[in-house]
Amino acid sequence: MAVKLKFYKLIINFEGEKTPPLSLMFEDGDTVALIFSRDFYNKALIDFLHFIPTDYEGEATFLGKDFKAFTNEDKEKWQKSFASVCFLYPLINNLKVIENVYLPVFYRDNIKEDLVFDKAYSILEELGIEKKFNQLPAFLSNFERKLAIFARAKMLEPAIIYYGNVFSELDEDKKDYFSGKIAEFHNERTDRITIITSRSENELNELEALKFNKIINI
Amino acid sequence: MIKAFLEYLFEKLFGGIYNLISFLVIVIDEFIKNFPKGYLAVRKIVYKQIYFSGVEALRLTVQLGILLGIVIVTQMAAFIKGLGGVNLIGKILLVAIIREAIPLFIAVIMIARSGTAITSELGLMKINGEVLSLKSLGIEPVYYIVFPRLVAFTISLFTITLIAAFVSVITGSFTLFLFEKVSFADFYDALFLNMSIFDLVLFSLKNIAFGITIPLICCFYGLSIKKSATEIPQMATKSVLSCFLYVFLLNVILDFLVLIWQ
Repeated sequence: MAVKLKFYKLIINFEGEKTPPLSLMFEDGDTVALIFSRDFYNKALIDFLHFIPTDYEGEATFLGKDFKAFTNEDKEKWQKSFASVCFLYPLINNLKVIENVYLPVFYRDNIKEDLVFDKAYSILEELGIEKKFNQLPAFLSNFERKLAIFARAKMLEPAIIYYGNVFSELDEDKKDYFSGKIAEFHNERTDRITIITSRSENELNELEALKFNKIINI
Repeated sequence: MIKAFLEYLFEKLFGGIYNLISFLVIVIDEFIKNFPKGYLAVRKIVYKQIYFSGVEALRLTVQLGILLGIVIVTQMAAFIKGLGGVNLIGKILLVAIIREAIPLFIAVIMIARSGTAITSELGLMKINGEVLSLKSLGIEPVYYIVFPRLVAFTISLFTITLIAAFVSVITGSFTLFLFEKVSFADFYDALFLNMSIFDLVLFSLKNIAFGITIPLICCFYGLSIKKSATEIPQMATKSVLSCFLYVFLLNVILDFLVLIWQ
């Protein structure tokens, strides 16, 4: 198994606070649960992974290269490999659901809109929210919004996907449905790394579809 | 003490201009860094914004053009006719409508209509985390949000001001014909005889300058909003007042420059 992503004593300085040191290796095919005692750690880590300016200590490497030594090309490579599903990065309210789903690929690759539209629609169909494709996000339920954010991440076909507290405030049926879809997506590629964060270990243990090979409490 | 006071005075007088110029430099820099990445997505935003600020504002500007044409001509025609005849009416109409009134009136309407909308929209995006969301998707917010608004607003303002000027000249000629019995041929002869390259240059310069300044100010204030929704009306008010100030200031500067050039 190849190590794709590695943190060694990673401490993120975020909004005047520091996260506890995190040492972890992510290998191809891993499904990792990160149990955060505070929401703040989730926010700090996800901003850090998206290169939204955050100061950090320790090491973070992707394919053996330190984040600090990243060139613009490395950053682009990382951005093509990584996506997140998190309410901290919501849908864009003045774009329709389908526009939100295809926007990152449409922007990144300058592909004709018709082509990305078809792909985005098929992803919405897979998740069962295709009827809402033409709606603005404000008209979606909380769960549908989560699914639409998931669809946006799926569109990017990332090798590493980060789910930030996605199961909070969902009832059992919806948790099972969502975790099933996450597991399906994980299994589409043998080298995909899935990182799921939560405030509660019990919440993740209840999910039958997902088998975690690493559970880290922070 | 005096140095501190002078610095304070300088900051108050030129701080705003410095911030705006710096922001414009950032917008241009982001465009140079990113283009042609995201070209199709940015173009789509330009079209959308042209629709919101141009097409949807068209009816109002045409109505304003009609009213301005009638008001200015009826107010001035009666006594000017006695002084210098049709030729002077053409000249006054040219200066009053094409050079001054129409560009300023349309700019004011656009500030009230689209400027506040831009500030509020961007402020809400910032508060909701949508700007951060764009960053997380590898989309540069200044390039994706601000640049298209600048382009679209400039195109829209230029076009609707041109239409409003055209409409006001037509209605002005009708008004003169109906109330002062000035023939269309005499009126248009007088108008075109008095029109020079300076008028067209000034008209274009004003529209381009206003078209860049207004959305720049509104985007700047919109993106300055930090976390609270209560900042939105405050910033919207600030952006409107700043827009008025800079538009009138630019109007004076451009008039003055063309006067020197002439």
